[in-house]
Amino acid sequence: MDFRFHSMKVLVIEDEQLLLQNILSYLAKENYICDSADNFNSAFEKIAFNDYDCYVVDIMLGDYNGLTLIENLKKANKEGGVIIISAKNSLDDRLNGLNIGADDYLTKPFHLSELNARIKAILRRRQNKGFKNLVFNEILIDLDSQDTFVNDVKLELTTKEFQLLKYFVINKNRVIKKQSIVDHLWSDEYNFSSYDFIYTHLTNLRKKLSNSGCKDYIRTIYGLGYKFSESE
Amino acid sequence: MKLLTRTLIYFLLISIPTFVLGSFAFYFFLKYAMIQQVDESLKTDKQEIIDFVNNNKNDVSELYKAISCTYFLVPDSVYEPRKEVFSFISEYDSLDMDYKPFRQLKTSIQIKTDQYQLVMRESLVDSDSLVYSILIFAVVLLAMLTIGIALLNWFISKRIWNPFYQLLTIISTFKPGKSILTEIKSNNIQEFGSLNIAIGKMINRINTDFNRQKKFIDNIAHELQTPLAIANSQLELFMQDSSLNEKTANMIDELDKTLLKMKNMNKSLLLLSRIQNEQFNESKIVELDDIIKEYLNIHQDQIQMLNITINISSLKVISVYMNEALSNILIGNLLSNALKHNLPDGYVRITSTINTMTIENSGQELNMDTEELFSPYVSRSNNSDSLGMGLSIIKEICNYYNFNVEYSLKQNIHKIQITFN
Repeated sequence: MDFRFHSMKVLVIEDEQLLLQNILSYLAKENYICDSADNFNSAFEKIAFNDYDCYVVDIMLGDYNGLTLIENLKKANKEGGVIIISAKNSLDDRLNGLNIGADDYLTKPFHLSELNARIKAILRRRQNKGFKNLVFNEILIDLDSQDTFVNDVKLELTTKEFQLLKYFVINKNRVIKKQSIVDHLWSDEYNFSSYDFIYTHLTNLRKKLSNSGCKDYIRTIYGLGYKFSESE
Repeated sequence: MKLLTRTLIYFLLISIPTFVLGSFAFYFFLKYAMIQQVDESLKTDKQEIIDFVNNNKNDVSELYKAISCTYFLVPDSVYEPRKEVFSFISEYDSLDMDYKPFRQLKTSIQIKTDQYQLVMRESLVDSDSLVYSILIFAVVLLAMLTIGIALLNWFISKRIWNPFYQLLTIISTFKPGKSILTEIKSNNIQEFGSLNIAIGKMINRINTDFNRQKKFIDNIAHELQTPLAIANSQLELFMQDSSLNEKTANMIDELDKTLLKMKNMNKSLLLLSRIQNEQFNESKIVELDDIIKEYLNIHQDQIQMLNITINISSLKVISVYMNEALSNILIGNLLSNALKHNLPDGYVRITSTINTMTIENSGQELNMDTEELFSPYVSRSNNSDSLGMGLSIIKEICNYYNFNVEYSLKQNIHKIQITFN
């Protein structure tokens, strides 16, 4: 169990009930306190009376604009990070959101694993220095220096292998879709029907990890994707 | 052929033969009238001579003294007083040293008991020159009249058809959703006035339909994002289920792939509608060759996996003034098409000149019209589903910047060339 994010508070603002439930279900496995709001007013209230470490905001809340909420957050000097989720994908919308103080912008539809990674990146920024490491049993990833250690021995990884391992550890114990890995490591512009090229990087990563005495945590989940976990 | 030219040609086709035939007819009529005149005068002279002979019964020498017109008497054996033979002759004029035309009348006359052939002549020099003078005057007059009518006709037609040309300009420069109808000067011609109104209604209808459709596509694409996000997240949660077996996993995989297709299609639709809504305004000079190299660099894993040879040896600097995001989308679509619809161990060759860029790749043969390929809404086989979208995005971007894009398929070699203006 990863206790470092314990008692971190996340507020998810999304007016689409099903999507909200799905996000909350996915985040439930993490050790933070999740709160939610499915309309503008309740979101407004929750923001006014509580402090959160991360706000996930859908900027299209029925007739209301979620950007107003973010503006209020910034005015009230709230410190938590903000991730915008939006159906709009234009550069203007993105820049607009980032300009008023959002930390990240995710376009619908997105992978829950990607949202999880973005939330963790924000929460990690709020950690004290020294805690900015990802740890999974004998694996330690120093995010500042981008170094990987297995049993305190440094591991030489390529950029792609490093990103892959990092994404695995962040989304540990979860099935990660191949497409989600492609979107995260390459670009979401890419939509080839074959994902065999992931396999090359995966094999190399596996080889390097096992050569350094690390257990094999990467499991193939049928044709769907991969899972990074201790148990089957 | 222009309308005015055609009217003019018709006019000339009728007026020139009329003019030529008319001139000839006029000439012959004039000539005939003149000869008639001369013949009449010869007959009068003849009568004068006969009267003189009958009254005076003088001999020939007396006759020559009394009557002074041009004639001579030739002794003859037969007497045919009724016979009158008219003819044209040429006489040598020693003064002018030239042959001169004459009208001649031969008839019989009896003086006392002697029979003579009376030959009378009248010069045609004067009458001929008169005919020519009149003819020249008439021809010039007729020619001026023809030219005058032609010019008048041309000016009138031009004026009358002016509203037509105005309307033509409006229609030919029409862009759906952009142009509005401008009132033309119909010169109070009812037909053109009605045409103007009818075209105006048509333009309005096209604009309304176009905008409605644009809005519809835009809305539907935006609205679809949320259900897609829900389906996507639901599926991802379902994957986490520990009771997953191979069968359900395969089903989820198929669902996920279908969802991905929808996602991409929706994304392309959104992009198309955003280009059409002109949401990419900011432009700057972009180096397309750099973008190509960057794309190839990012996607080298995929290229390696497909074992595709990339040939960019003759790629020169291509500077184009356009929106940066669109330039990335354009190159991304061009190259991902070239890679995706390639063959294993195939190749992609990128060449460029100052204002053109050509991407050539090996690939499968397509049983499709190249025009159809650029349409986003044409149904096609599973393998090439994203080809149409990709190509229509390419086409839309090129249209937006007035770039010329040509696609050709020869012996399994796909070639796309873009000419920048």
